Amino acid sequence: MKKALLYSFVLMLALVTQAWAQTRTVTGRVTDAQTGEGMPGVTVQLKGSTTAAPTDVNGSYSINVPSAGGSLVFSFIGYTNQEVTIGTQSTVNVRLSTDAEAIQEVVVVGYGTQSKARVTSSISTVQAAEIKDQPVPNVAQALQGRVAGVQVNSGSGRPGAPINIVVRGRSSIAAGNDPLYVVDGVILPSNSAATPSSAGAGISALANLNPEDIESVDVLKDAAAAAIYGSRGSNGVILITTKSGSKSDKTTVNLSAYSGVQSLTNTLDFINASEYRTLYNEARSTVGLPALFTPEQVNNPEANVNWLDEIQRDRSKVENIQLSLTSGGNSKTQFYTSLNYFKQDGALLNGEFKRYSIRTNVTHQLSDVFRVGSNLAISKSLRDETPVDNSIFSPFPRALVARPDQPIYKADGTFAVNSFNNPVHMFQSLNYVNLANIFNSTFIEANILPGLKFRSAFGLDYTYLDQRTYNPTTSLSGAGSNGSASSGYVQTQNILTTQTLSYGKDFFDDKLFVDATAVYEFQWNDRENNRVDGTNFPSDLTPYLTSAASITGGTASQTNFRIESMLARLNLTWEDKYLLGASIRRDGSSKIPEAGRFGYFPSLSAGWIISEESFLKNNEILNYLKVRSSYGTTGNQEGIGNFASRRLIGSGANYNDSPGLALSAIGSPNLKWETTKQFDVGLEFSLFNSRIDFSADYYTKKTTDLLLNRPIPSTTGFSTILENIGSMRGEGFDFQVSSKNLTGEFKWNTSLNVSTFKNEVTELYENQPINGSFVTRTMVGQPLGSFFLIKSLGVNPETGDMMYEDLDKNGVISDADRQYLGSPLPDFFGGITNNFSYKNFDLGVFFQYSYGNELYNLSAEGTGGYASLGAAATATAGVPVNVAKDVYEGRWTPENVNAEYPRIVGGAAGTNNTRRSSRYLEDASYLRLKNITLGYNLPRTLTSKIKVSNARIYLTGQNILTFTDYSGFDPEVTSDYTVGNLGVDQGSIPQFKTYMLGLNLSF
Amino acid sequence: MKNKVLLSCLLMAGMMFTSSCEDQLKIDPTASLAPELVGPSDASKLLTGIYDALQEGGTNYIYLSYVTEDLSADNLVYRATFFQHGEVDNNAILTDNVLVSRYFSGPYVAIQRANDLIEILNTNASIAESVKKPMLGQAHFLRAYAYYKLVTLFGGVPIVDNRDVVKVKRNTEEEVYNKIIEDLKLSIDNAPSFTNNFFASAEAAKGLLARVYLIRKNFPLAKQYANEVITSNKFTVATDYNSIWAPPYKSSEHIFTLNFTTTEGSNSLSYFLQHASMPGGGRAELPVDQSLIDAYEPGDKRKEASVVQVATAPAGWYSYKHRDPNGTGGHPLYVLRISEMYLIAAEAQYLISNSATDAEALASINYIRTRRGLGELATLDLQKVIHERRVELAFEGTRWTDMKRTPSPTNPQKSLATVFLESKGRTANDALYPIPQSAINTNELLLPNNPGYN
Repeated sequence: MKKALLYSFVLMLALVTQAWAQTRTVTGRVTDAQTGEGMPGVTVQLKGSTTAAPTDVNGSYSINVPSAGGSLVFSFIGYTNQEVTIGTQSTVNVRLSTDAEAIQEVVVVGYGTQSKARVTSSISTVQAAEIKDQPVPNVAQALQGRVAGVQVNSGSGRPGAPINIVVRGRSSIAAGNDPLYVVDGVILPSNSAATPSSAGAGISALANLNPEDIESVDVLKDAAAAAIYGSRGSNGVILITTKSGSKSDKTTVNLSAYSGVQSLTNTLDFINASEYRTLYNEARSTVGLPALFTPEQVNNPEANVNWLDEIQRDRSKVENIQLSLTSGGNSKTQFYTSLNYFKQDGALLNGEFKRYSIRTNVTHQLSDVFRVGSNLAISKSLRDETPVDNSIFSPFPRALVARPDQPIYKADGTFAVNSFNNPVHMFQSLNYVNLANIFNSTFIEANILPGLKFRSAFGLDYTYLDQRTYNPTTSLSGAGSNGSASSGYVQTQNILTTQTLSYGKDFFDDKLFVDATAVYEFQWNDRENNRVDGTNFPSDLTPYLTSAASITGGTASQTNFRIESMLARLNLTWEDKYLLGASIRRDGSSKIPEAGRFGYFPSLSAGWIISEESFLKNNEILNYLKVRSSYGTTGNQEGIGNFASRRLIGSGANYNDSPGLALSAIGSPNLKWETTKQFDVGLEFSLFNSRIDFSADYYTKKTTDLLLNRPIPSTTGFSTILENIGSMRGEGFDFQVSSKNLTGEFKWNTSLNVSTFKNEVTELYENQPINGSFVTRTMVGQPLGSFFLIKSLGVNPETGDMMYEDLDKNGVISDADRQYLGSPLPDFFGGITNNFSYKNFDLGVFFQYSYGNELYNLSAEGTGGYASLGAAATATAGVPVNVAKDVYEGRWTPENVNAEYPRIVGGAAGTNNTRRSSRYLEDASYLRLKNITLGYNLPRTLTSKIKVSNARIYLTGQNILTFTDYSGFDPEVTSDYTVGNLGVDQGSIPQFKTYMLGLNLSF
Repeated sequence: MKNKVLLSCLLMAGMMFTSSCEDQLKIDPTASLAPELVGPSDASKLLTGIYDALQEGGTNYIYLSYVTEDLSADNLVYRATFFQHGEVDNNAILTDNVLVSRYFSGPYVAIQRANDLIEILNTNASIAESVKKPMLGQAHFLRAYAYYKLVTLFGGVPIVDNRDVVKVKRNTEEEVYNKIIEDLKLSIDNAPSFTNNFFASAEAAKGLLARVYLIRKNFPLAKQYANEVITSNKFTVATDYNSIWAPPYKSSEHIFTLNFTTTEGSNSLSYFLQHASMPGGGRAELPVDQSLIDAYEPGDKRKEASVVQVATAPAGWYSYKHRDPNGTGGHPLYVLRISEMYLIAAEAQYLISNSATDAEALASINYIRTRRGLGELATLDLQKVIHERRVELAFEGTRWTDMKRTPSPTNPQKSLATVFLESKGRTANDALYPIPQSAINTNELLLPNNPGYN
């Protein structure tokens, strides 16, 4: 929106031709850059004169100006003044924008706002307008590729799945790498997405937040910005601000809707039943077994199923409808209210995500001293999920290996048996996960003295997550127990009270600006879990636990934590040139043992706006130049369990149905948070009247006191103890450039961001490496979670078997031959946006990319992998799995000796050919056309007839094109985000390719 | 005026929030207790916790340790799935065997829980003797049994008295046995006499002490304690051997078993041992060694109660003692039975008198044989007792220790175990399990490892 204003401003300048030398009348219309409506009451003034005119109710004006030269100044309270050179124009239309212009922008910092020019820390902002055309349920997805230094991973194409955001690289091994989310000043708990049952693959609580209600997202990246969040700032902070009402007299009604069709971004061809049977026979012959299928059975199999097609949903859809009302009435009360419905089908059978949300944000000026406000959002999301996901035993990976020569159904209509589980049959199991959320942020603010403000805020984030599973009596999982079910909930109540005293005042003839803030905050977090399990159901029509003949288990528990914080911040600005910032936060957490309960997190930052110096002031090329630097300390405590530091005697040590107690935790009396010290230096400049904006940051960070479970002698009765051991460092660059390439009637803007980061573990407990679950290892001197594998040397042209590097030269390929072969972290990543507009048309093209990251294709490996050539046939038994067609066709045969893939072979050679090795480690660099949107604003002549102030229709494509060498389904996915498993593709559902049509109407 | 009222309200509210919230940081969990909150009155719950440790608490798959002696020896063989079982069966255990690692760490969970309770009981004068003694007696027995499990598999292991996170070096095998004997004597002095085979008793302590003295070759005391259990008249040798293994597992044969209720349902031993076609199902992972099948004399009623032949794949003989007919995971682990006391008495008496016709020894062994459908022996030798122990106590976790402590009839310089190992191309060193590498990683004082594992 702010950019839009700039663009139009530039447009005006471009239209300047020459001056006339007589008095004449200029007319025009002033519109709100955001809503496009006419703005009444705007002052239009001829610069340097007393000639002025107001705009009328439609925003139109008429003013007498000299026939040559002169410029008009448009001003309105709360909006940025705009100056337009009249030139020869007789019509000057202007779009005004609230608090606009890049260098006068206000950014949201923790516990307040700051003028962007005066910011001395590294903060990136994404405005609602930039992300509004993306058909995603979760704002995190929309951030992907938008912000330098922020890496976003969608774990899978499952709607409502957890999204991973990493700000400036990972800095923890075991204590979590998720940034802190703060919505309208309320720190969100990180534990509200916990599910009562382990069925399913997790959800994102953030998916309950309607992205259309978001005004801006500010990412606090460096320590100076994040240190204000102290012990929770190490992974960066994401501040989300929701929309508020405007002060314009008119109430605006916005209606927006979109609807689209979606399919998997990518699919692979698999061999058919005849080819499969050829493979099966060949696998058997290599281990000396007779062919299983006659040529007739090979050529005319009784079934030929494409399982991948069978498990995909036909006509998968996404739809969203939003009605919002913005403000009105008077300057005292502003409100924003919205109703939203979002629905996204899954890619596969059953899957569905729905969200209903209501929001009302109100502020009211009680008197000239007091202002009150309250943001209230109620939402419910409903998910229909598959019970197992993100493991190789989920329906999707099973569909890749299931035998194509076995049918879906038997002749009697019941599910047929498949050697690798009938994937369609697996969808019989039901798993519903619903999340209800009540969010409130209420404040009262008092202007005590000029410049001195006190604000008392109360925040509530209450989530109720319920989950119900049912495995029907005929399902694969439920048949043995005659139907099985679970039902449970997790409720999380997070309450935050924040008292803020802030002071902002100019001194010494406005030379010195002092901005000081002091805060006291307390957070209460309480969580309850509850679950009951049962089996033995009379009918699949009675799937609730009340019908279970056996209640097989039940659990309920409660846990909580509290955090008390105090903080102070001081920002000094001298002549808008020299900037100095300092802050300190003191956090006390119930998670930390009493002795070291309180921690201090200071930061210091400074900036110099060089372009304000006389030697650069009014420079025509370089119109803005700033250097800044910061250093500070942040902490990370998410990885500490609520009572993990305590020596505890736990319940549950039962015997013979009598309750028992036993020491359940040995205690870590010296436990404290992880500490990250970060140094940042940044440069920002603008060229050619802000046609090019550039910012660059370099940072280094060092994390110490990493939380790790240290192994202890098992003679203590325990195997590990949680301690602060280990350290690591990281560094990286963030670049962001935006440019207005064409500023005429045809406008073209480009913005580009590039980020790099690398890290290295510098210390572990006795420097012992930590293995991930499958293929990674974290070791001193290596990046976090590096791939540690046997190195594949390709297919031996003579034998058709795989060759591996025998690192220890002992003639045997074993675990001892593993070596570091890459990292899941990209060398660099980012996004490129190009926006074009011509008259009423606009076109946005957004690419997102990642370079140098590797992905291990776990679901392809082994004798059970889809790219292994199904070598499971052994001397005694064994059924080969189905394989991808290009693997089958590219396999070694006596005729194709320079093959990419090994021969079909069973037994030991088959196992050796498909062993876990770098054969399945692939470069997953990619460039993806993430979003392309073509929009058309209906002309006013048309819209005014139907009493619509603004109407826009648009066509959007999401994830339309992907350029990658990755042979799996989607280079962007990873099955989980833990350090040990990042970059391991266990057969994740690829993301959606979506085409949709949208409409926005304002009344 | 309105402003002033509001302002003062606001400031007051703000101050209210701000003041003394620090105390609110002191919170306690609701599923566990701070140690200082656990007092003498909770001692009985802590006792339950020790049973839990030996049964399942804190160590997954610990129930498998109750048949590992049979697998090392010639009673069970490895068929499928856990290759770690294969290493045990082949007597070629690697130091990274995760099951053996659990067999090492698991008993220490029980030992330390016992240490916790014994300390509370011995340092709290407020607990009445009548309350303290039964608990102390059981705790000492359970700790002794945990050390017994360690010393028989691993040889000398560290003796630990508390939970200090320190590296403790290994004690000698003799020191560990002395600790066991000391604990068992304390148990005999304090434990209640037998009422329920699911709980430890003075008789259970005597029974285990008899076995320990037999291992330590103190035959008079072995015989004495075995006879004390027999003459306690709390137990009877079952006339129906089959009934010992059937629900509700309360046969008068049992001196001590670790019970699993169906609520807990976490004992999957049956599932590992049994064939899928047997009641309660199974995974047929550890079939029976043919030599055990051959060891049953004709007419031995124990055979059909102990082993089942299955014709469907994977065909073979399967153990039927660990029964779980309803597949609930709720069946006990067998620790001590009265029949063994007769066999200990027979063996000890035979070794004292060294007479093949020792009437007392013959009476003891024949008491068992006649109740198992077999004829009386007229003469006795050590191998006959060991053979009787094998068929009587198959799959009850005593066979490997019996083989280790008994000289071979063909080569008396070597034990049965050594001869067995050498016949498989292994060495006498494989009689002991290795101290697991995982334990050495956290405590290098455990080195050197047992011979042959360094």
